[in-house]
Amino acid sequence: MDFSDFSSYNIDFNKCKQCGKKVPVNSVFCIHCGQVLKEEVVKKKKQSKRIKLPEVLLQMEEDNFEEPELVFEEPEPEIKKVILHKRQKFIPIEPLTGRMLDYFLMMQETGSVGLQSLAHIDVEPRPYQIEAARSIIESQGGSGILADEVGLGKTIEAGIIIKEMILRKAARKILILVPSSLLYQWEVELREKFNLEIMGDNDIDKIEDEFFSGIMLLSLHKAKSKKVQGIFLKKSWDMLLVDEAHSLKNHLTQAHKFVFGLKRKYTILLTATPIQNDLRELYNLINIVRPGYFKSIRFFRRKYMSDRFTPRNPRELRRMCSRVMVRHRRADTLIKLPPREVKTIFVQPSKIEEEFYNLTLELARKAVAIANRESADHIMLLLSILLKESTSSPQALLATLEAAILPKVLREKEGELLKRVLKLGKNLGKTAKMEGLLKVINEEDSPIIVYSEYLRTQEILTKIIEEDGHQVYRYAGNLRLEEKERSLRNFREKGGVLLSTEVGGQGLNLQHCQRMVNFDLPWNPMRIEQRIGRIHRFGQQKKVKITTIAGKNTFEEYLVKILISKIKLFKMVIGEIDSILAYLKNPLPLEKRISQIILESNDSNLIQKRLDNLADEILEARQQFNQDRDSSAKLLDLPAEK
Amino acid sequence: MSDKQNIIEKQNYYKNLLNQYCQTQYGIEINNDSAKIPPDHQKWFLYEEKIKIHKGISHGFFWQRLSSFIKRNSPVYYRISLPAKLFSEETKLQIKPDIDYLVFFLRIQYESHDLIEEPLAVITEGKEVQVLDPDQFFKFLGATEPAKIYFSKEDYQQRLAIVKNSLKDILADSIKEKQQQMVQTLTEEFRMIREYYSHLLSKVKKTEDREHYIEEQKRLESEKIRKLHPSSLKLIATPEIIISVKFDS
Repeated sequence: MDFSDFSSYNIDFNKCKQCGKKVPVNSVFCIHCGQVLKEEVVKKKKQSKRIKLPEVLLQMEEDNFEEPELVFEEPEPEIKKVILHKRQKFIPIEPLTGRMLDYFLMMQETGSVGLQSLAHIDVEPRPYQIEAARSIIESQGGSGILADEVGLGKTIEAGIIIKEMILRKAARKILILVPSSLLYQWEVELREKFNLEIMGDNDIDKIEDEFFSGIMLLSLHKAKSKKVQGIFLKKSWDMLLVDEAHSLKNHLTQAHKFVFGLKRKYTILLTATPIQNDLRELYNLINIVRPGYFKSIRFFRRKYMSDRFTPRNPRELRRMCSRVMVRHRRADTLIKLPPREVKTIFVQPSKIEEEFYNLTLELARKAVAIANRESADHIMLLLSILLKESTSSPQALLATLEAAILPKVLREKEGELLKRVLKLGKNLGKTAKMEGLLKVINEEDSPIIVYSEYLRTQEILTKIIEEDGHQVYRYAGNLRLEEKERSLRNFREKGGVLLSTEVGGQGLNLQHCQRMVNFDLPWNPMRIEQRIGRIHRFGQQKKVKITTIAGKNTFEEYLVKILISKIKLFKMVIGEIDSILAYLKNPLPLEKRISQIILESNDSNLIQKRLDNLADEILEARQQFNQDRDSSAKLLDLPAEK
Repeated sequence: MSDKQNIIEKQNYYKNLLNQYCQTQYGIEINNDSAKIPPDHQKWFLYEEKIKIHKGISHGFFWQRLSSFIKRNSPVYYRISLPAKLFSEETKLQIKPDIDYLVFFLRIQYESHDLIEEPLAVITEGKEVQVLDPDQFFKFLGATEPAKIYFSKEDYQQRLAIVKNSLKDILADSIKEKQQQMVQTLTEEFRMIREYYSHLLSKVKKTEDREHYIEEQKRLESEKIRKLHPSSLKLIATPEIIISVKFDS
């Protein structure tokens, strides 16, 4: 509403000292800019509403406090050995210079901390990530919102903070709550990049132990469930982290109430979209980190909101936010990656391969029908592995089937079918996908990484590729650390083909390589992204080629089409899919949903249709995410005023 | 010159000296914006041959890795001798010649309203502990000689205990300052919480809801007390370098 129109009414006006606009004479605040016009009224109101602090707090200013706890870290035992050595072992004094210089350098910034964690992690963070972690630890009292734009590595920032707080003995009981779809990614990142051991679903009982300490990683969905939430609410946590924290935007939801109710010393929220539709959501998030930071919603509305979507005083609001929030834009970080060239090859399986694949699918569906309720989850997991193996290589599938891990009832009822699958599999050697892979490898004489999830597939691929005259290096979970390091080093120095399972080489960069093949496709898009991230990362100078090979008329073909052509997964910025999946209404991990679709659909048309619907859901989530991303950017990323 | 500029100047000074030292001692070549690491030491730097040094981050990735490397590759303990007169004149400390001293360079971490770290150097003899300016000690490095100094186990333990027991006295002012900052922060946090709930409660009529909010407020306040009450201040003292010194008459 334009208040200058009031001139047509019989109202007296004054001019606001701040903005110069007309304001009705008796206004206490300017209706345009929020400036206080009647100091005495505000003062009087403030006095009448002065907040009473407890006596104990008022006394503190005069008190002599109890002596604080002091931990003296005893020098290492070997020092004692040296210092007490009667035979006067000679100690060169030259290194003393280095020691002292290091001590002075590290202790120069009195009043701050050097991030010791940087010497204990297996990743080199970008400078803005280090600054974000330092900012939270040093200037924001250990609590804050990490609100970088998507793909800038908020998990790395959070990892540094966790590691630092653990090293400095400031946090022993840590709770990390994430969307179900991100559990795997968090587990891998914390373990591989930060050498942190975590506890999960199966360890919830341990929290009840009085002396519990450790890192508990759970889905927010699980933690807030009525069955277990009491255990979490009872515990006094040192640190709480919530990823994709925009799910807490509404203060009336169970998720918000649960997180707000957790006892915690330090709180870190991660979200690329702290503001979605309504400015109230920003208020709600900050209120979790620092309750009462904006006094009350009434005060926040009056001071910072023109309406639900428009800030009244964006500059001041940004200033206030910067004390509890760290945010970087992609444009500020100088991260520019070369383009990705995405190629999909659909190969025609032989008749025997087709039969083998179809019979496996039939066997899996029959197993679903037989499975009872109690074992349903377990069976679904097992069958989804079988299905993925069937599209990877017959050798991988046979290894699992021969291990007789299928339920007894299935082996008895569908024994004949099982025998046929085994017989067919044994007759299969080099598959159409393997032929296709050799073609891709031979396209160029440059290093190439081939990803497969299965060891048996890796073994057969090693044989075939070596027979084709290429040098092959293997990287897999069953190798010893030295063997893995040797493989990576040789691949970096000599080129050739690196065959890798999922656990491929964090820390060591492989930017010398620009070609990558997905020989089989994980059903979790974030695992695909991690594969790409090994070569398409900071430091890569050249265009990266990503090839995916899939068999025609298999569910893998439909899945590849959905992920690559429809969702355009490979065109997304790293990290974007994580945020998008967190917007899905159905909390089930995507991997599980894909497995349900394949196993519970009777024919390939239905599989295609249901996968297509799932893709639509993801696209809708993406649209919502993009809207929220723009809302956050509009408020938080305005260029700083001079 | 502002404090910040002063710190940067000092850091640059120590960085330059450290660069020269690392080059001669370990063959690590440090230029303005990158460091070249010899193969033997690459494992300390994520197996990288060349590392970019980002400006403006004094505690950045490279320096923390280098610090860790130096700590693991050089002793913590040294035995030296120094001319007593030179040292006592410069430091104004009461130093007795021909007596064995122990010098501790400590890192003191405070978990108060923030995480804070401060250096501290002390020199001990008998039951006496004197605070030493670490920078001053650095000046004498050129005048030091290796020395044969032996401490009995009891003597060493006794001095360690003396340092440990004196720390609270030595750090009394610093502790008081941190505790006062904790009180200020706690008061501010309480004020925010109380203001928030006074507004909330003024709007709520239903007894059940009121009770819920009152409980919630109590819980938040007790959490703030857990974190910010001055008696919950935590200190960690870590000896980084230990030097036994004989002052020659």
